[in-house]
Amino acid sequence: MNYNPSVLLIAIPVLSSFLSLIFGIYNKLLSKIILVITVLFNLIFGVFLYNLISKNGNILAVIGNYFPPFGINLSITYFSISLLLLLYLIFFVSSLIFVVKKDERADKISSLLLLYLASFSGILTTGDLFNMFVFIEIFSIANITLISLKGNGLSTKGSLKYLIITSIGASLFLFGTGFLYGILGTLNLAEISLNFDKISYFSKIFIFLFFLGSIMAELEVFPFNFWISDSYSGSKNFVNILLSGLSSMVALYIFVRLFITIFGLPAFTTISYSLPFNVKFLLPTIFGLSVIVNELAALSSKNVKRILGFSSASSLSLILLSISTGQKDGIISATLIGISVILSKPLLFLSSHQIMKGIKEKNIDSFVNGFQRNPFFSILFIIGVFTLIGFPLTPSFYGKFLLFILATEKASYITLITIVVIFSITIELFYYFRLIHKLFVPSETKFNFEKTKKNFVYILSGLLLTLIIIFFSIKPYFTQNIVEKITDDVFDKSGYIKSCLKSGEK
Amino acid sequence: MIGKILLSGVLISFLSLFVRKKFNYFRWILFSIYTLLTLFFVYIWKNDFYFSENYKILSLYGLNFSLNFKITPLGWLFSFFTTLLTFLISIFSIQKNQEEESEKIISFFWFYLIISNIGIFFASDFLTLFVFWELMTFSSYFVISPGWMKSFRAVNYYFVLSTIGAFFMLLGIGFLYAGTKEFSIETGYLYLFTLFSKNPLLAVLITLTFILGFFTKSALIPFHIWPAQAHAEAPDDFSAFLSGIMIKYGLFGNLLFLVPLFLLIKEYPATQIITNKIPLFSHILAWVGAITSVVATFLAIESNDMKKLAAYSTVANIGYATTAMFTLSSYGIAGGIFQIVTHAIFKTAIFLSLAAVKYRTHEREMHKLGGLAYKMPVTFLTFLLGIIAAAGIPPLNGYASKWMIYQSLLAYRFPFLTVMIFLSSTGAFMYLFRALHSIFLGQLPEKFDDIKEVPILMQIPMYILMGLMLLTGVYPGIVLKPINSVLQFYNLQPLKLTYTTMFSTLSSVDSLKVFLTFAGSFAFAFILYLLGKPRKHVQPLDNYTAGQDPKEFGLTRELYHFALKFYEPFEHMFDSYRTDTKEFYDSFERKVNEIGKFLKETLSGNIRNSVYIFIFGLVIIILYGWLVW
Repeated sequence: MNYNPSVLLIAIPVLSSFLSLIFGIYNKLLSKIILVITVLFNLIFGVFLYNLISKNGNILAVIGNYFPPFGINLSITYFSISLLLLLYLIFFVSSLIFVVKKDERADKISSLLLLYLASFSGILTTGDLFNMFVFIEIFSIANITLISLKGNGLSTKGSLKYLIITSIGASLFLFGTGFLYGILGTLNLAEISLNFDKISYFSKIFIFLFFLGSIMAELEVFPFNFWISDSYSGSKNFVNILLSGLSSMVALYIFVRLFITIFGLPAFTTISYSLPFNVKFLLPTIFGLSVIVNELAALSSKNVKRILGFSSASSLSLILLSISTGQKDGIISATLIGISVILSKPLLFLSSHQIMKGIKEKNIDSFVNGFQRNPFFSILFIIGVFTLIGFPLTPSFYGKFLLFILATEKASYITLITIVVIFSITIELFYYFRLIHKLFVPSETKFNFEKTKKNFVYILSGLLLTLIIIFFSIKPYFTQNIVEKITDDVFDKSGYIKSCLKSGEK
Repeated sequence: MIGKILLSGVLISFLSLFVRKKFNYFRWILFSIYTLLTLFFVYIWKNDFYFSENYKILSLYGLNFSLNFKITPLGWLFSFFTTLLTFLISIFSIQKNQEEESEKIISFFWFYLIISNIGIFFASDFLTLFVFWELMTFSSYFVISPGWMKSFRAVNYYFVLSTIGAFFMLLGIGFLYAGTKEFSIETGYLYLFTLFSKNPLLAVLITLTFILGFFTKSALIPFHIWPAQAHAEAPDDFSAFLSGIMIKYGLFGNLLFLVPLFLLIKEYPATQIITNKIPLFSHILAWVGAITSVVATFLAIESNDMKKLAAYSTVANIGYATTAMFTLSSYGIAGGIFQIVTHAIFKTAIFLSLAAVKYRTHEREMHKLGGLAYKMPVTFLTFLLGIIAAAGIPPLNGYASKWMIYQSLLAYRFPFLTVMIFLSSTGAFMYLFRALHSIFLGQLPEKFDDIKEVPILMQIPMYILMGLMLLTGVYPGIVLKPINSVLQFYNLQPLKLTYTTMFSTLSSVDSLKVFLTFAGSFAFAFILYLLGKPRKHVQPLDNYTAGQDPKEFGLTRELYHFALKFYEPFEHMFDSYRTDTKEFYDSFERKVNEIGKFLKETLSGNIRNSVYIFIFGLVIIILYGWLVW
């Protein structure tokens, strides 16, 4: 259906981004208030749109009455709006944590955060390839600045690495877009999707590899994952939450949109590519390798934030691996693991930050005696770990189990990759259990710890995330409903094209 | 009912968290009561074989997630004896954990071990089995190392090996599911049997995944090093549980899945290689068991740490049981199961007496102990009976089970396996006597002069265990009758036996007569002792020094106690044959860590490096594009 006000998801954050700068001159508090109000607006409006889409199907927003394939349009499907809602939630948590902190640059940062909000809302809703590029650029710039906020060597290094990789990635994206525009004469995703098969044999390879190269950096895939190490450990806590729970998921959305809905040929239960080479061989190899590399790097790291960073990269690669199996069950399992990662990674960052509070060195030894110091956040940390590794009843349990069943359906290349991935999951279990074990170790040297100051916002957001995890776990049929709808939506290529191109004809 | 018991365990475990540290004996009493309750219910299920209980939990994503339990003779036998022993250990724990640090964590997670114990033994499908298997692995992590840095390394050996094993098992389950579209164990091995003729490579692969899963848990070669680490460093009362009960899960898995599969192949040897009337696969596994028992025996002889010694002895016993059960005769399987039960009893007794020694002395190294027999008579007697049983001397229970194993191996013509088992069994005398001598006999060190026997609450389970060892030794029928119903479950010929007499194809033995002979000779010796001349009690030290005070020579009592490097000359005989498996795992760990460190350093290096990596990645992508062009 046609519903133009959905543009507000992007317009309001952009507007309030400027407003927060202007009001920030008078009072820093005002800009923080603007931030929170905007996030809440987006959240509530998102819920409204979610209901609308559940009832009436995909939404198309046409700008300037130029109906697609001409002009700019937004096309929101069930997949994008449900992912968007989860991401808004994480963003809300993160901005709450930012808001309670004292910072001299509060007005600028909140303006930046609003820009960030606008950009990822744009990426998830846009129906236009070039717009997507623009939003990715804004998104990267916001990310770079957020990473460098701390101002020390590590964060500068991290943000510079991120800058290098995303700028090159973005130019590759632009190349791909240019090629597509040159060949098909359109930038509309639905139109491209309709006509992708008409592109010649060689151009397809080009376009495919351009887009793959551009997205791999954001996806934290080896060998483009070198920015994780410094940007996670060098940035502030609320940025960590954004990076792990949000940035990677946005990149994942781009991957799914481009490589499944647009370039892929989703049939009833499988995806195939009309490509001259075997994507089913290429993608699992890259992602399987990436899981292992990230897990190994996490194993050898001592810095807790770095461990969590590498670990989130590896979970992302696991998700990509299950997507790249090309089966419907693979997408289901990816969605399930994705939900767990989105919810549990922020929880882990948040609680580990609180557990290590007041200790100068943020390595694994600062977890020692954590349970005595801070039982509440220790329990949250343990819940987070169990959600991530797939304890029965959590979404990722079903996800990993489905991946297993899928991989063993018949002995194939995927099975081999899965066996290798099993080892890395063992490594993951090992280092997370090591961290939990440290929580219970009584400290030998007597630090004079004050009892950690109760931080209301941290407790609130931790509880919020935990409750949502518990909700998803004890309402498995509800989760299944959502997950299956998302999967159907991802596979529904013709529906996407129809909702975009036909609704202009009325 | 099974579900209710498991659920009530979860509730009681949370309830136990609210008990204050000051009243922590109440927490452990709660633990004992729960175990007793479980024992009671398991006991009354003895007439309900093949009763099944299904909990349809969820049907999601095209899969049915349900917990299915079924009381099979095999599961009942295992669960009854393990629960009984857990109850005895739990009485011991009430006193033992009074001053233990982090006992709250231990008790909390131990509840989940009892729960998973019941769950594993009564599971009727793979999904249920796997869920409880993982629950067991995860919760035992925190019982072995409840925030102790000293046991951290040990628990990691255990944990990593178990998790890898469990994941491989899951892989096998997945393959079976792909073929049968259900998780049932019975359908699983039937399907695997047909797969052996259709797709032998895949069938062997699946069998291997299960073997990996079960053998890592029961510490057979080459995974035999974790018990010596984990059993030694775990809380002392938990070591008894670990060694007596938890290590049996792997063997239970073998009996549940592999033995029926091999029995099928043995019966219908269509495409399989058959050696000595059993499938080659099974024959190899029997040899693995035998080799394990010999290697573990030598490792036990070398250890100076008393808990490590007992742990290696456990591995050796697991080896006997594995060998016996994979010979696939009814006597072999019965002997294997009997060995598992008797081992559970006497190893619990041994570990509890060691825990009692450690409770009083806080020492684990044997050369620092000595002469405790007079100070701790009950503990001494428990240990003595335990090692007599472990060495297989009549009339205690270890004798009965070993007799069965020897009979089966000889009757079905496995002479070399018999030799291996015999070698390891003889070696058992060496380390067991050494432990007895070093801990309880010889000279009492001065610092232990005012040591007392452990409190009465810790003595009670030891008395009961002594009684159990004698009872199952003199009346082996008590255990063998249930084992007969297990054999019927496998469609095998049941054993011919009465409560006291065991028959095999070669010979028979009446253990009551054996016991009476032994008791008679003891009585005769005792009468002679009474009739003899009046005697004077001489201190052990006076025996050594002919009445002189060693302090005059600048010597202490400890110096007369010969315990350190007891078997050094013997150990040197095997110097050139020694392979250090632990070193292998350690170096593997180091290598993995080094690779990780290399990756981490490369990834977090300076920006120039990152650009190099980036260009490298781009070049690979371009090359790929070029190649497929």
